[in-house]
This record gives sequence, C-alpha cells and structure tokens, in this order.
Amino acid sequence: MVYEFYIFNNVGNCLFYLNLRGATPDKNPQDKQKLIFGMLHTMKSMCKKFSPQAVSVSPFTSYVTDSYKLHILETSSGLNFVMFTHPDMMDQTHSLKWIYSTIYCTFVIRNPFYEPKKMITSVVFKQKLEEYLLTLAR
Amino acid sequence: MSTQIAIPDITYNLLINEIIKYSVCTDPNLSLLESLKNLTKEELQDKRQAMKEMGISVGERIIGFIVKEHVWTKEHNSLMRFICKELWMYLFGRYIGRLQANNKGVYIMYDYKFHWFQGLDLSESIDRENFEKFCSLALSWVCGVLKGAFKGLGKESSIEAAVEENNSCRFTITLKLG
Repeated sequence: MVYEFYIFNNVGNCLFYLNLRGATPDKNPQDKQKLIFGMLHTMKSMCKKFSPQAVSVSPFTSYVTDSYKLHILETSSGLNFVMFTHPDMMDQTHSLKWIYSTIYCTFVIRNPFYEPKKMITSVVFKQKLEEYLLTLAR
Repeated sequence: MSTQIAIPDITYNLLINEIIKYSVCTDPNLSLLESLKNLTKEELQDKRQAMKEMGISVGERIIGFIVKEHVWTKEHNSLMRFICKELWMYLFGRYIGRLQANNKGVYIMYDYKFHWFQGLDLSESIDRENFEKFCSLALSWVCGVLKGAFKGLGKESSIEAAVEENNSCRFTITLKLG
C-alpha cells in the first residue's frame, strides 16, 4: 500500500507530488515538502557519518515507524524519489529503481515539453506512475 | 573500412527535439507549448518543409553509406524490402514491423516500436493539438530521410506519416513507376 510519492531534486525543490491515500489534501503542501526534504537531508548526512566504513554515497534507504514506512532512492543525477508506504512493506529499492529507469526516463526525459528543474506536469507520467504504484502489494 | 558504431536512437531523437525547439521558439520568453500555439498554418507548413529537407539531405547520404556492401535491383519490391530491413536497422537497430503493398506503387509501412513520442499523451488532453503539431514536425524529418533514401536509389517518391496508438507509426509511400 503506497500512501504518497514525492520527487525532489538536489536543491530541495519538489518536482512532483502524488497522494494515493484519498484523504483530504493538506492546506499547504509546500510546507510539508520543505520539512520532508530537510529531514531527509539530515538523515542522509547522519547515516553517512555514522557508517563504519567510509562511503561516498549515503547508505540511507528507509525508515519505519508504527504508522508508515519511508523509502528513498537517490540517483547520481541528484534526484530523490521518496515513497511513503504501509509499515509492513518490504524494501522497495528495486521498484524505485524501476520507476526511475522506466517511467521517469520514458515519460519525463523523452518528453520534449518537460523543462528540467521545473515541476513535472505531464499527465501521462502521473497516470503511469499511479498505475504502477497501485500494483505494489506487500 | 569504417566501423559501425551503434547509437541508440534516443540520441538523435533528443537532437531532433532540440532542432524543432530551436526552429519553433523564436521568442525566448515563451515556452515550447506556447510557441506551438502561436504558429500559424503557413508557418507550420514552412517548418515541416524545412524539417523534411533536412531529412532528405540526411537520407541521401545515409544511402550512400549503406549500399556500398549490397547488390541491389531496380525492382520495387526488393527496394522496399531493402529499405525496411537495412535502412531501419541502420537508423533504429531493428526491422520495421510490417509492409503492405498494393501493386500500383503504393506501400504502407508500419513500425510498431516507434518510441519517439512515448512521452506525449496523444489520446486525450487539452494540449493534444499542440502535441500533434510537434509530432508532425518530428515525423517530417523521418519522411525526409525516407524520401532522400529513395532519391539516392534513383526513385521519385512521396511519403506521408501518421502516428497511431501504442507507439506505432504508419508511413505511406508512393513510388513513381518506371
């Protein structure tokens, strides 16, 4: 069960937001997005510092609480794919990688109307992503 | 002896997209979508013609590259088969899907894996008309390549292309007999 999906770039701008819960939308999603990015930035640098071996890329992939689990994939191009799911969900790195390589690459990079660093407004990208996320079971 | 380097067709798909943007966006303050909306019919036709001429020039030269290893006949059907196999393999790394012929010199080629327009949703959207303008400009280039290829092989032709559902494209080729 996927609750929400975000795409951030390396500066902190939220390029895409998808809410699958069907609950009432937040009054000010930008505040929440800024909070999420700030928290993720801190988590990534903390995990990197605590790591017993020296790593160049932050090893942070997910955290779990009683009510949700957060998964993150950071790409070399500076994109952060963030997914909020049900706490029992397994590790979703493979599905985030698939979303990047198939859905994002096809519908965003190949789209001549997409301007980099701006919000993704492609309707077909949203549709395909929603279809895929709804198929993600445990 | 030239070695053939396989370039995935996304490279020149993106390059053709940039060429179209360069020719359409005359005002730097407008986005691509708005520039397409502002194009008049004559301007769109002019730009299509320009893309086609670019393609003709490319097609003629590519044919010069490809035929050096092949023995060819002047018979239409084998020419068409040559185009469907060798030219498409050279450009896109695969064979074209299907070739239909009526015996009066009109051929229809179907390519079922034409991924250039996957990023655009052509089924239902407000900007559908502008997306279609963009696709027609990109397809004019491909038509030009085909026309140039036939010219290089010594045949006059007229080519039209249309995008169909599910990443497939249809090219209608009319060859002058004789």
